[in-house]
Amino acid sequence: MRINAKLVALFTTIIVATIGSLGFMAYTTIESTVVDARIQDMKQVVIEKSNQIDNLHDRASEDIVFAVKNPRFAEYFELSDTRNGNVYDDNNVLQYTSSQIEIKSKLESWIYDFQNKFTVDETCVIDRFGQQQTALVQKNVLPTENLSSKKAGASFFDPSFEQDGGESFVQYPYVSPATKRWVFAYTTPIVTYNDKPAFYHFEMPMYVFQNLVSTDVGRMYVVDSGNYLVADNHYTFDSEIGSSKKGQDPTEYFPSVSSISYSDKFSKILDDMNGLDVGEISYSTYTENGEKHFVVFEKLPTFYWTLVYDLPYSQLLYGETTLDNLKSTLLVISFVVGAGGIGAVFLVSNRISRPISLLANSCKQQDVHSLEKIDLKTDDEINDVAKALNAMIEKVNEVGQMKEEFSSMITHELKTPLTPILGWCQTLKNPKIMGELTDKQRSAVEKIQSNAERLRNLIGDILDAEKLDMEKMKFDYSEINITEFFTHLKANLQDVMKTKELEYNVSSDAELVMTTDKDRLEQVFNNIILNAVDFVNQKGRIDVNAKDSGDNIEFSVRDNGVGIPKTKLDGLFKKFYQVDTSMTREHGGTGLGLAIVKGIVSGIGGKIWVESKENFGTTFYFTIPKKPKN
Amino acid sequence: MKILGIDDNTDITELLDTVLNGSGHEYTFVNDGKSGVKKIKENKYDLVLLDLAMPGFSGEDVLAELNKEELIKKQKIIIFSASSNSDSEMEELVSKQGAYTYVRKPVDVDKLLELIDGIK
Repeated sequence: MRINAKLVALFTTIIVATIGSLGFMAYTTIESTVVDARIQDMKQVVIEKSNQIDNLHDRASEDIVFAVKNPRFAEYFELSDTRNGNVYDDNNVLQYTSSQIEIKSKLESWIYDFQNKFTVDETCVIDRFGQQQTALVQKNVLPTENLSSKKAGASFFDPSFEQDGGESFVQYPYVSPATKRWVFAYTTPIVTYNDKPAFYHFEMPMYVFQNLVSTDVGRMYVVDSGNYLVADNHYTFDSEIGSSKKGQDPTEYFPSVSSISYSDKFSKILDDMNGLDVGEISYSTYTENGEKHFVVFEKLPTFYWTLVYDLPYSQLLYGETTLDNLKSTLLVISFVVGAGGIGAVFLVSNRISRPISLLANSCKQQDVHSLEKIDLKTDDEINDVAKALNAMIEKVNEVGQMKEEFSSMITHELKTPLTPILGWCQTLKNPKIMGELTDKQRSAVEKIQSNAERLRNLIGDILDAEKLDMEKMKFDYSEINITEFFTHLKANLQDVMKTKELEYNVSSDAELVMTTDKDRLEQVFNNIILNAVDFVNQKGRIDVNAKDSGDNIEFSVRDNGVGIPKTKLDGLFKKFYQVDTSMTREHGGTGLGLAIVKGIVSGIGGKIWVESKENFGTTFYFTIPKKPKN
Repeated sequence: MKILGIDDNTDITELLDTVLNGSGHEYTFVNDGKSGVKKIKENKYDLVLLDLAMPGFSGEDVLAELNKEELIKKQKIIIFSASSNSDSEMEELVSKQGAYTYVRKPVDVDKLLELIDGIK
């Protein structure tokens, strides 16, 4: 992986992680603030609703007192007909005496006002069921003026009578015979204005409470001390009242609140509700179907009812734009900071990797034979690397210089003594100058001469290989005629061929002319042919051919010698490579010949390759451009 | 043919002394460049065999001096060089310095004789 990509990936991860965690922290902090605020809102709603219910009851209580103190009311109760309770006929139809009807009509105007006040359509002073309940209370408690609704804590279906403090009542829901609707009834003993004992019975339809708990979002409900639902905005109380006179069973009509949720935590909320003191407000949470619910509840002073407000998380934040705004703001900030950060990372990583790339490029562009110092001009660690490389380059150049000096030394110091050695050999063999030599003397001189010549050739080869290595070999191009060149080549090697009795043919497929370095081309042929001579048997055969090949001339040197094993073909053109080291001693090669051949062929723009089959012979092919490239 | 050899290597001058004088030429030699210039100024030679690489006053210095004195046109000079420069580079040097031709070291005595015989 490149440094750029690594840095960008690393820093991008850091930036994204930082922005992500900061954003998450900011969001959760603000979210909890918002949730706290919304719970406070819920509490406010609960308090308002509870006040409404309380007010409704207080006003009703006040009016009851007012009604009790109404002389007409007392008058009604003091009628002997009323006191006897004999107001129903045999068919259980309510019967009023004329005196009762007279007072009732006067009371009805008050009832009318009462109904208007509470916007209810069913309020009556007394009816048959009311009379029955009144009789129940009468049996258990004594009437008292200190009536209070504040402690009316019994549940719907469990009428209770409290003697302590003279407070007593009965409250219960029942189906109004007149409307066939559920009403809430409240009966209490009273003392009339002239200290006569009496009982008051008050009724209010349940839907009044139902209407009170209506809310736009969430669930709001009222439960009594027995956990029965009194009102619930999510629950439709069955309006179909049964055929019996009292209608369906209240426990069926007002189900237990425990049926609201299946969450384990909800039962704990129920316990919390029952543990509340009157007027106390609390809140809790539970999870239902993967969503968190927030529940605020208050114990009402009215009948010890509990008002509950339940909002799931989604509805808690309903209409809440702060979090949405926060989300989009955070997104914008994250994007801007992220993009800026990543951009900055790109810039920084470029600054870091650019000098490295520059360094790499200036290394790549170097000519290995003449290394130049790297000029980076940075003031960082990369410059230290460049400095170290420059020190190395200096040393390499020094070594290169020493190598050149060494080869120049070889050139002069090795060649110089060869002049007298070879010169004296030639001179010794010259009878005009030195007189005739004996056969032994001549043989000795010739051995000295041939070895000196071998040394001379070796020095030449080493120098050529060195030049090719350093790419310092210069080529002298001139136009040559291949037929003439071959004639010269054949004549030159005639002696060698004769010695080994070889069949030696040179041929050209056409009259070919080319512009190339004639001496070097001859060196290539000599090296290949003399190599072949070494590896063909006595009376073997060597064929040299040239053929036109478009822009090139393709040459081949074919022998029927021992061939080269396949495994040895690959390294054939490498320096000091020997197919068989035992052959070296026999044939005296330096191992440089074919390396020089390849160097020269490449140098003058050609290609060389070899085909060989063991025991059948070898063919060297090489192409040379007819015109030099460049 | 009257030939002057200028070469710091006495083995070579001695060899050529034997070869050339033994082949009917009149060969004398000096072993440093300055003496060579002096000889050329004092005498008329048919041919000078000049070694390029000599300590102190080199063969190139000799050629420069002869060029300066405008003696070069009057004097046939064969340069001896152990350099591994290419033929064309050698030819360029020869024509630039106004020499006659060059012979590569190690010198092939037989070929040198052929060359000298070919001049006449």
